[in-house]
Amino acid sequence: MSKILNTGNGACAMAVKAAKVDIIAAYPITPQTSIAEKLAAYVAQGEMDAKYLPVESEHSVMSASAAASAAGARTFTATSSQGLLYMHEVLHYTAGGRLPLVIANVNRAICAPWCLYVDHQDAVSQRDTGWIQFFVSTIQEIYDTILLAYKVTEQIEIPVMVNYDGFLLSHSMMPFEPADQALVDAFLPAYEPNWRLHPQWGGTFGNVAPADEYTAHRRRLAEDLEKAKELIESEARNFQDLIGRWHGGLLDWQGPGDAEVLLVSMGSMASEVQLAVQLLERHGIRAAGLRIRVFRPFPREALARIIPAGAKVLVFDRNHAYGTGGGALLSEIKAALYDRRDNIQITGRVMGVGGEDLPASLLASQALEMWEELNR
Amino acid sequence: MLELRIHGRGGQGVVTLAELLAQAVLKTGQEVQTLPFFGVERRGAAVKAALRLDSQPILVRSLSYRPNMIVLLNENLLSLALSEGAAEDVFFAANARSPLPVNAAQWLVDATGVAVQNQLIFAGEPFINVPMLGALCRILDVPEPAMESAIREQWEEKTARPNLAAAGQAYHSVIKIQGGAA
Amino acid sequence: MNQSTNPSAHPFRQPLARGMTGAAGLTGGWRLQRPVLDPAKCNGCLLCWILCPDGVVAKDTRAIDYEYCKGCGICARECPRKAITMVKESDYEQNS
Repeated sequence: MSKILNTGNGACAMAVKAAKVDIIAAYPITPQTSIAEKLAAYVAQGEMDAKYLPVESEHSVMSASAAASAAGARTFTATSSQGLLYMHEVLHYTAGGRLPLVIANVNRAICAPWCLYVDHQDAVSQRDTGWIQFFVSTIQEIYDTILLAYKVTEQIEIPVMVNYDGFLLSHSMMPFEPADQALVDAFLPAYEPNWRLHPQWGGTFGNVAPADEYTAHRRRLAEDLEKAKELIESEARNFQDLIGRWHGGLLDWQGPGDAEVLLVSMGSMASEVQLAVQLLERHGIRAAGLRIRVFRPFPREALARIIPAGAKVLVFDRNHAYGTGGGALLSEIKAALYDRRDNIQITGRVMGVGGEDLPASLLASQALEMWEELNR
Repeated sequence: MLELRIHGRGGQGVVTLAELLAQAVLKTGQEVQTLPFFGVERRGAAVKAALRLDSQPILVRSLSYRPNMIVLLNENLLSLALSEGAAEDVFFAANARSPLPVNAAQWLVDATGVAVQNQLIFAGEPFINVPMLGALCRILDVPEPAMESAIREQWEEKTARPNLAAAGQAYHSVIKIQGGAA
Repeated sequence: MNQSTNPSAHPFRQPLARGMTGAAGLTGGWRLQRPVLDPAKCNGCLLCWILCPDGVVAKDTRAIDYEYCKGCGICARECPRKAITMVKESDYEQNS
């Protein structure tokens, strides 16, 4: 299939259509809105055999989505920023309820003060809800990851959040290649739930549990999130075999294989980091980009395996982990590499919050500063 | 990589122009990226969008600071556009009948005149983005058939017809001059 | 959740439960008033059986299971023949 041009939100809607989703519940919020608008148009024009629920708030969006998923429907929604925060309670519920779901979260800064532009605070604030969280960096990857997300969520029964940067990806147009519908159908067959809420099933969902049962249930969620890593990697390989594209498994090493300075980031920034790596080369620094594609479950083992001894790890966070002195990614990377106890050096910067623009020159100069700090 | 920054005013169709141009460029087999700048959306406010073209995939995910080419839908946005930065060898494309007061290569087209002649008028305002599309396709060596199919994909036949005529007229009437003194 | 089920051995990952008698213990102890049926007045319409929120009325005999009846009184209130009377548990205990 030849490349077409569309915005990130347009590509997302096309992937949802190709996934033959049954139920879409949505509430408008910038910069997500054009996904919901496009899906509403697909349904209204009969291009998609789905039910579109225009509900009154994001809390209701996620509640309706939870119910639809429990009833056995392939379900999609999209949101951003405050919308995701408003869903927070039900995000815990859907993960605890082990309900297969996919949400596109178009990353945007959160209040106060009001801001429409990109950062990752909205998604990072949901990191302990039990959801799987992807961060993608191209429009092609948005399309492909929505399809992968359904394949993963329906097997492991943990909801999946596909994050991509507001405006920089959602409203930017770039060429990408949609997949042939027959190939999508082969990769992602019609959803056959293991269980669904139905009068004939005759039981109840999510009622009171005593401590021993609650403990076992929640431990199982934590264990299955760990298992999700292997599932994501193997399904990404299946996707590659069938549809021919690869965006990395849990993480994506971008640059020379022998690099000892690593610029770690997530989202669209990771694309620009590849240009910063080229600038650092001119300063005689052999660097590579290391893109964290899956933030939850965090790829601890893969990181510990891939980072060479003596490496300098420079972490770019588009969020604050308030009270920790840095961003969430920095804490996670440090925790993941602690057990190695070799001489890896790690430092980080919080950058690009509230849409602060991150051209390669800025990323490279900050990387250089961090590199010099570590050499002191 | 060639980077364009398009300056116009809210309501002039800057975003649509960038998207149509990107569609036309894609048909030539190049990689392309549009990156609209979103601010407060209201008619008359200064707005801009970036467009990048390259022979290989575009990794940039940041705004346009040093464009190789500045596109002005209004001559009076020149000083604003320059204040936002440009490459040393920047050249211009403008909706203007007389040369811009800059010492640089420039392409001029009377997009307003072309819009009026082709009845591309809505609520008393000429639609100048499609004439600008025609001029930009000529400047970027995008063949006319690629430009025409981008227009046909955007609008159905009845709406496409005057737009095709206007784009074609601008494609053939845009002129290149070496600019006068700044 | 079903108390007899170990969740990690559960065939489904969802937090599911099925109704079972006595999951909340012997709820008859909650009762302040006891519904007493006068079989002579009862015409077998089964409204009490339909309306009982705890399902403690036997369909065939209309016998009430006092192990689980919480004494809400809906049956007595709705009985068209006034065949069910609510009797204070303390009075009932004294009389019997």
